Amino acid sequence: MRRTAILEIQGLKTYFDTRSGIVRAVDDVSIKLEAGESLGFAGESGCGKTTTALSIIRLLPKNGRIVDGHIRYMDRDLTTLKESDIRRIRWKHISIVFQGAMNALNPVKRISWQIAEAIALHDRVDMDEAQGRVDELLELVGINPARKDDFPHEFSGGMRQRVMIAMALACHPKIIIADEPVTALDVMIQAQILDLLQKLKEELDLSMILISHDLSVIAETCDKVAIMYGGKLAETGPCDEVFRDPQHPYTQGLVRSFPDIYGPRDLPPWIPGQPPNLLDPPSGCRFHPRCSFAFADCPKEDPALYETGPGHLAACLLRAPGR
Amino acid sequence: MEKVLSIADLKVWFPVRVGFLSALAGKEARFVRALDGISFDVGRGEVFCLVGESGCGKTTTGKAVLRLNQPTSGSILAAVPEQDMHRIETIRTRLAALGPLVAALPPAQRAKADQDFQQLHSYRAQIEAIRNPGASGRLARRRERLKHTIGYLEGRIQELRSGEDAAIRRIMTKDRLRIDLMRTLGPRFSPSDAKRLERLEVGHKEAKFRVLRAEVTHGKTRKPARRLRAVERRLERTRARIVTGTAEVDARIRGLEAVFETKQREATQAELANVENELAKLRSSLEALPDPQAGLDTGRFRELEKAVAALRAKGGPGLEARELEGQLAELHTRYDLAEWGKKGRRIRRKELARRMRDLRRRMQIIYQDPYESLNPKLSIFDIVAEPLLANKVVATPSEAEAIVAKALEDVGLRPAKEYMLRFPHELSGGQRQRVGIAAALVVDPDFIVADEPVSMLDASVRTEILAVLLELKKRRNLTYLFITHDLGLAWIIADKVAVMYLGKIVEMGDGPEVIQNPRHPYTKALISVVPSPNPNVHREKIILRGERPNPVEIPTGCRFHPRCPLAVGICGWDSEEVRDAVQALLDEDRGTRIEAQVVTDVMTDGPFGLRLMTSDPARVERYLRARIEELAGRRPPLASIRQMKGATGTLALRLHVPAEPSLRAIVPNVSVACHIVEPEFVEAEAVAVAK
Repeated sequence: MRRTAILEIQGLKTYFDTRSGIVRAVDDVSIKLEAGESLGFAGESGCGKTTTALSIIRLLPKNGRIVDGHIRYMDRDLTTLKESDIRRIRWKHISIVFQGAMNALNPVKRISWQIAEAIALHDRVDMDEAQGRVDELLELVGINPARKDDFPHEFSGGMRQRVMIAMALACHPKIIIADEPVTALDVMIQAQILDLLQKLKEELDLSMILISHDLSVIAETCDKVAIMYGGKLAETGPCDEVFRDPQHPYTQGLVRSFPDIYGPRDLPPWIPGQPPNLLDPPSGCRFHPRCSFAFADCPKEDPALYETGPGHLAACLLRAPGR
Repeated sequence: MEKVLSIADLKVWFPVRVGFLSALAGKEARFVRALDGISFDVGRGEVFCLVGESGCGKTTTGKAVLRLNQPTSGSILAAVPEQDMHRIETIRTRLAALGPLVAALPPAQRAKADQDFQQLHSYRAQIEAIRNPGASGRLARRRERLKHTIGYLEGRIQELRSGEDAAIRRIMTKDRLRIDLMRTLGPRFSPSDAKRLERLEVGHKEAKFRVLRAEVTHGKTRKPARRLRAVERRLERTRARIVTGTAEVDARIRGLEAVFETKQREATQAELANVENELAKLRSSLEALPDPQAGLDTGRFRELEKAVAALRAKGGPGLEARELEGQLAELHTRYDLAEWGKKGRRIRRKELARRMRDLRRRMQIIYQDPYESLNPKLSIFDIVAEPLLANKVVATPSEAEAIVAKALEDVGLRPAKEYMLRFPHELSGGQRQRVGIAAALVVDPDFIVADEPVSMLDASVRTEILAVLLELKKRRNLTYLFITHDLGLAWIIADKVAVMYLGKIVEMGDGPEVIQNPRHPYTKALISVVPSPNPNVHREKIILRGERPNPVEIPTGCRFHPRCPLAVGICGWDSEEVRDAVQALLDEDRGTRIEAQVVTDVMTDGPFGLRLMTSDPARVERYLRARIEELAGRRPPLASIRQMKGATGTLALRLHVPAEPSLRAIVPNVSVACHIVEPEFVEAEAVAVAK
């Protein structure tokens, strides 16, 4: 079956202006999200995963700006749309589950009010009508609707995360972005939430972007993965492929550094060094100071994404054709 | 192996606040049972992992071990000298051996043992009194106290006579200050004057400085000198206005002084009389105490020794057990951390502080979140040196420098000199956690509680920090109590693993064995949901229903049974759970079975009984038996119905009385707390299948 790209990011560059200079948080990222697909963004903290997501729905902080590139969604370019137009897309077409569910809810408002508010704001209905849809949404994410009038502090972390998901689903979006949806949750709750997301994705025919620093979470839930390093894509491809046979030295190191209870009982090797400072990234390949395979050309040439298999691309000079 | 930590039946309960009115209405106090009776031992050089969901009591255990919270009951033996730990062990094994013997004794003999023990105790006290007269016992302590008080009072009398008594001086301070002020600043002195004067004096100093500067820089001093003179004139005028030393003022001051003198004399006299009176009383009571040297008697001493030997020879197991228990209790009061803060036997604050300092040097904690646990106002040096100063390992920060530098280098922050001067915000997460580790290790402890030390770090940095921890462990022979929710981590580092659920340990044993071959249903589920980066691993996930129950209302029987995928009838279902199940069954069958329609109501009858209102109990009983037979495997609450008894109009159901499964060794080195792996249950099942 040939799928169609529902969201296409081309050469996206998002920079932050800070007192000490321009931080190139996302630097030339291109990737496609196909309908009904789940795409995972992975990488260390500060590699630009969240910034990419926020660029898509244009929720960047004040000092952030999209410098270059296009984000195509249904024949429109989200980077150049007017604020009033992007508002129509936000939530009704693309919604987001923010990082840190514990703190994203308003502690002084009831859960039902908070969900209804999201509906009323985007769907041009009044609050009473919106409240009517809350039951259905809570049922969908596995919360007993009898508890809809509780306050956030009465819910556990997992349930708050479910509420956040209910809120993201409130206006029947086509794409849902989940930013670290299971970080800081227990393994059991983590499994429950991932299971729920998977189920909702199938039931409601959603496309999903999942952001996580935990490779194993992405390995278990996503179809496609994009590994980011220092604001750039290091490797992208089908999940199975990337984790089975990683092509970029960074991905290799990352995959190996995860403890696996089905693997050997040794301390896994780690990648030495620190992530790059995005105020002044290293020249050429940004990974070369930490790379054990680096050679003379690495600091000189910025590697493009080279195809190493069907749909599997890696930004490493070692994978350049003819090398 | 030498034990570093031995926890037995530890409970930590936190009271839930009950409002005043509810308390008046007789609402009973409730508790969050964070830890509900856990026991485990940690050997030297081990990594002991506590694993479980949040709220299972992992962190509470870690804090109790460090005495950061007060245990409700149980014992924590930590940092016990090897010799005494050995003694405790020996006493415990001997007591365990004596246990059945003592239990077999007839009550008369047991009473006899108690009596003998009392007798022995009194002999011992007498022997002690003879051997070391006046040095022990209440009498001696009282004498000591009296002598100390008398000495103190004598000192006070001296001071009062010489007019240097601190108490009197304190009483008179206000008056003296007033006179002093009048003398220096005049009777019309006011606070605003004082401020003005101060301002002028500052101005004067500045003006002088300006003159000086002008001389040095360009030599044109005319203008500043003129200003200086003006300031001086103003200052003199103000002083003259405030201080007017007239005869009238002098007379007033003299009058005040006279009043002051008399007042002081009177106060001193009164105090002196008081103290002398007290002293006389104390002296007389000291004389009334019996003489310590009386009753020194070697013959008596020998007699007593013989009596003790005879008593012990014919005392039997009862007496021995009593004696050992006494010794054990004594050791516990000395070493048991749980006893330290207990009500009734509270030790003195100074003593507690001394013990805590001693404990802190042996046991330290690494906190979870390096972004929160480092004080942003302190430099890395201050952070790492703080434990040294607080625990009085060194007296001044300059002495700490070499130790801090070494600690920083040990955790891989090189060069240490450079890192010492930085502040936490200048470091990355991994580096911060290294600082946290350095701060814990700087006092050179041998036991570390690591409370989720890597869970806030990026996955790629985690292994690096773990490597540091393991390296330090090898080099310094450390013991870790490692608290984590990540089983993947436990798999790599744990020598022993204890899986906790709702304040209890459900499975404990050798790390690899527990994780590769889990036996408790909870452990099984937990391990099945650990995500793996390896795409070749595909396995069935066991996702548990719901979330953990509220620790204020812990389920009856096995506390895991409401979420357990393998629960059976004996797991501890209470009447409400069974009522709901029976009701659901009746609702399902309402359309198809006539019996379901004749049941009018299902009620609970006590915690473990049900009552079905029906016109035809015998028929309903038959129907229920058949349905339960059919469904028991899938609906464990129904399987908990033990017997049914029909009467007119009702059918009474009795449930299995729940028993909480205890931690039992299933195979060597692994113990599990679950009914369905207990040998009796497995046997019964085998019989049932054979039938």
